[in-house]
This record gives sequence, C-alpha cells and structure tokens, in this order.
Amino acid sequence: MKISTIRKIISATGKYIVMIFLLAYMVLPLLWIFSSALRPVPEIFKYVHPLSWKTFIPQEITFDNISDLLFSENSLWPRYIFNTIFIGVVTTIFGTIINALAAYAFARLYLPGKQYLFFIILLTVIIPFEAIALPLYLVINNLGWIDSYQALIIPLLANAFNIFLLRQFFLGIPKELEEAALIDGANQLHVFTRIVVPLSWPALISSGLITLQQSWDMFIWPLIVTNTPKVRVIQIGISNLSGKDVTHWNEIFAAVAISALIPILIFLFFQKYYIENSATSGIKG
Amino acid sequence: MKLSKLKSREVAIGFGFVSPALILLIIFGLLPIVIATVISLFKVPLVNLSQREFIGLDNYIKAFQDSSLIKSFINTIYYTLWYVPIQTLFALILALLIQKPLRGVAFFRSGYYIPVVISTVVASVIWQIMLDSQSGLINSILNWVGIPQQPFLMSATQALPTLAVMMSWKWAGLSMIIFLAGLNNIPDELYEAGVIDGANSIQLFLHITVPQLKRQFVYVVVTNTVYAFKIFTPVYIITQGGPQESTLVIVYYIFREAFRYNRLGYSSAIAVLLTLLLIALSAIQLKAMKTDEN
Repeated sequence: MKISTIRKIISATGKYIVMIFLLAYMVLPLLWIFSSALRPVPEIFKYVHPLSWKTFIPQEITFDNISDLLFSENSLWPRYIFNTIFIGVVTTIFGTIINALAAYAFARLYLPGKQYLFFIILLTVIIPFEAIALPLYLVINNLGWIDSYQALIIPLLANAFNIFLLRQFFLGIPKELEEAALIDGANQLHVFTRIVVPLSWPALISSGLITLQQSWDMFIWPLIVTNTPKVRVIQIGISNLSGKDVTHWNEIFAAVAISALIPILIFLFFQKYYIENSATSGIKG
Repeated sequence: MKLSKLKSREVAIGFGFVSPALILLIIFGLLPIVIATVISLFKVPLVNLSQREFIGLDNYIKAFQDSSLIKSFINTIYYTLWYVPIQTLFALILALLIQKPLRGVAFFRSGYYIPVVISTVVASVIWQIMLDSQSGLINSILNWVGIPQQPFLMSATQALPTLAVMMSWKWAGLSMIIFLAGLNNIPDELYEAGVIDGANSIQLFLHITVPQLKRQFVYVVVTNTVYAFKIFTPVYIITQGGPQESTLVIVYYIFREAFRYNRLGYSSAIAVLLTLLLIALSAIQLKAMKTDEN
C-alpha cells in the first residue's frame, strides 16, 4: 500500500476515535439515566463505584420506577406531562401563525414607519426575559392569570427571533407568484395562505420547533406564575423532586428519563428541520 | 381620491398582519421593562403593592454599594469567561469533525445535538446526580483513570467552572450547527488554491477556514455571552448560590431579592441595570469584532 493511503486510513481512524469519544461524552449521561430509570434504585448506586460495565447495564430490569411515578394513586405526573405538551403545542401553533403573519408584513406589505416597528421588535430580542419576568408577573397577577394556561402561553406567542427568521425566508420567495395572484384579483390574505404558506412549510416547521423548544425549556417563568399543580409543567415537577434532602430517587430517575425522552423523540423525528433552522439563522448574521 | 383609498386599504392590511405580534410584543416584551423602571424608583414589598414608598434613585445607589450584588456580578463575569470559550471551541471542534463527509456523519451530528433538546432543568438534575462528590458517576470514571475524587459542586472554587462545563455540554450542539453552516459555505476553490500553493492543513485552517467563519464566530460569541450573563436555572436547582456564594449570579440575585426577600423595588433596579449592561455588552462586542474585519 502507498504511504499516503496508510496515512489517510490512520487519520480517518483517529478522527473516528475522537468522534466516538466525544459522542460518548455527549450521550452517555442520558444513556446512564435511561438505564438507571429501569433499575431498582439500590442497584444503581451499588454499581456506580467502582466503574464497570455493570454501571451502565442493568442487572435487573424493573418498570417500577416509571409506573410508581406515573400510575401511583395520587400521582400528578400525568397531569404535568399533559400540561407541558398542551402548552407547548398551543404555543407553537398559534405562535407560528402570529409570527408568520408579522414576518410576511415586514417582508412584503406596506407599513408606514416600518423601520421603527422593526426596531421595536428588535428591542424585545435584546431585553432579557429574566429582567422582565418580575414586572410581567405583576401584569399577569393583575389580569388574574396566575396559575392559568394563558399565563404560560400568551406571553410567549410572539417571538422576534422567529419573526426575523421567517421574514428572511419570505424575502427569498420569488415575488412573481404573489404578484401574479394579486393581479388576478386575489386578496392579500389569500395570497399568503394559498401561495406563500404552502411554499414555506420547512421554514414554518423549523420556526415552530424553535417555539416548541423554548416553551418546553421554560423554567423561571412557570416557577413564578404557577403555584398549584393545576397547570404545573414537567420542569417545575422535576425541580420540586430534586433538592438537598432527596429520598425519592426512584421518582427522580423515572421523571428525568421520561422528560428527556419526549423531546429526544420529537427531535429524532423532525431532525432535518432542526439542522436547517439553525443554519439559516447563523448565516444571515 | 381613489389613490388614497387604495393606500389606506394597504396600510390596513399591513397593520392587520403585523398587529397580533406587535401588540403582544409591546405588552409582554416592552411594557414590563417600563414597569420595572418605574418600580425601581420605589421601595415596595412584593406581597403588598400599596405599601410603596417613592425613593427615587436610592435603589440604584444601594446597588453600587451592595457587596453581595458586586460579588454576584463578578461571579457572573467569571462564569461567562469560562462558558464562552469552552462552548465556542467545543462547538467549533465538533463542527470541524463532522463537516467532512465521512460515513455515518449524520449519526454523530444528531448525537451531538441531543443535549440541546432536553431541557435545562433535566440537564441540571442529571449532572447534579453525576457530579456527586461521593456516589457520582463522574468521580467514579475519574477514579477509574487514576484521578482522585473531586468535590465539584461542593467546592467554592470548582462549582462555577463545573456549571460552565455542564452548560457548554448542553448547548454546544446549537453553536455547532451554526459553525457547520458556515463551514459548508466555504467554497472548495479556496482550499484547492491553497493546496496548489503548497499549504499544509494547519495553514489551510488558519488562513482560509478561520477568516471565512468570522460571521458565525461573532454571532456565536455574542449570543453566548448574553446567554451566559442570564444564567439562572442550574443555580436555582443545584447550588442556590452556594457554596459560600461562589455561584451567586445576577439573575439569581434578582430572583432572590424579589421572591425571597420581598424587595421588589431593589430587584427591579438590578434588573434594569442588567438590561442596560447586556445592551452595552452586545454593542461593544459587535463593534469590537466588526473592526477586525478587513
């Protein structure tokens, strides 16, 4: 074999080794949690130290942790899961519609003072949510929305980042299609819904996934505006379980495993839209 | 007559499309910061808003003299100095590795992205369990390669950098995708020309790849910096500012002042200061990185 070929093989192998090592770093914590959730708790801690294959592979598989968490008599977890998914889906659907309409207006429609409106929207990106969480709490309190679904959905519907993203995409669609339809007498809303939207599904889905991720990941906001289990979300549920004096390890492992599994499955299903959306947002700068 | 009627109809349509988002963003995005600014001029307990007392800029003066607040500010900067380089470089390395069309690259790319989609709360709890100083998985792995047990989150010196490493694990995938898009946009001809000129791979990297990634680099660094300054969730869940106030960060401080110590006015003042700081920081960073461009 030629030396250059040997060199290539060595370099490719070396690369694979590094990649696998890094993959282990990224993924092992999750695999450990998943396998631990299926083990009796004493077994988990028995095999953590010293390190062996038994640390990761269950000796005895049990679904008790999960069933105790979800199906035990007064378990609030099915409620938490429902709340989180419900809030996520509603926010995503309505949020995407609202953001897309605004994005289209900025991309194509006539608006007096467009630059000023755009600037207002830009400001909301810069202002950290953590800074407005408190006064927002007061607004929500005043509206009587504490412990309600609205409080967790409505403030997050409109999102400047998504508006930018979708505007960028709409600008890239050839104008001729819309212009032709307008000349033929279609009104602007029809042009939007019948021509632009069908062409925009990848961007809309990507934008929707961003909204879904934000809604799912929310912590400080639900922490402040919810007090009772009524509309409590998974993230608060987990936070309540953890803490300095932890005794319900079985619940924690099961809760964390389920909470991690749901977004992972969604991600694996919608993979190509995640990759595309981050890509476009980075390039435009 | 007809022309202005047409125009006003256009305006109506334009505003019709943009209003829902605009109204929501103004009410839930901008109004709160105005409210925060107003509140910051008062001394007022969270539980009873009518017990307010106008004190002008006293809260701001107090903020600059508050040693705990100053500590939290320093902690936040320290955290940012750890987080931004680690996350950015890690993401860049990941992107470089999966950019070449080796077999199964998509599999690795998905794997590297997975920590991004699990929630910050979940990531915090998982790492808290793994980093336990006695029965933690990480210490177990370190022991296995001969490194002694580390206190990690129990140590005032290790806790903050540990959080930075944890959060960079969580978010590197996001920056990786951005770098990946940038890398894929570099025309092959540039590399071909470089190879013809006799450059080796390190030279190719430094003189072609790095400059071409400028835009992505600026975006990643600026957004990561802002994000680092806002850290809250891991501190709330794992450390609560400890040990010994070593992980006390600004947003946690704001939260604590309002919801534990009932000092709404003071908390709002700090929130306003944080907002101004982040605006200034982003502006400075953008300017500093743009002037290098030539």
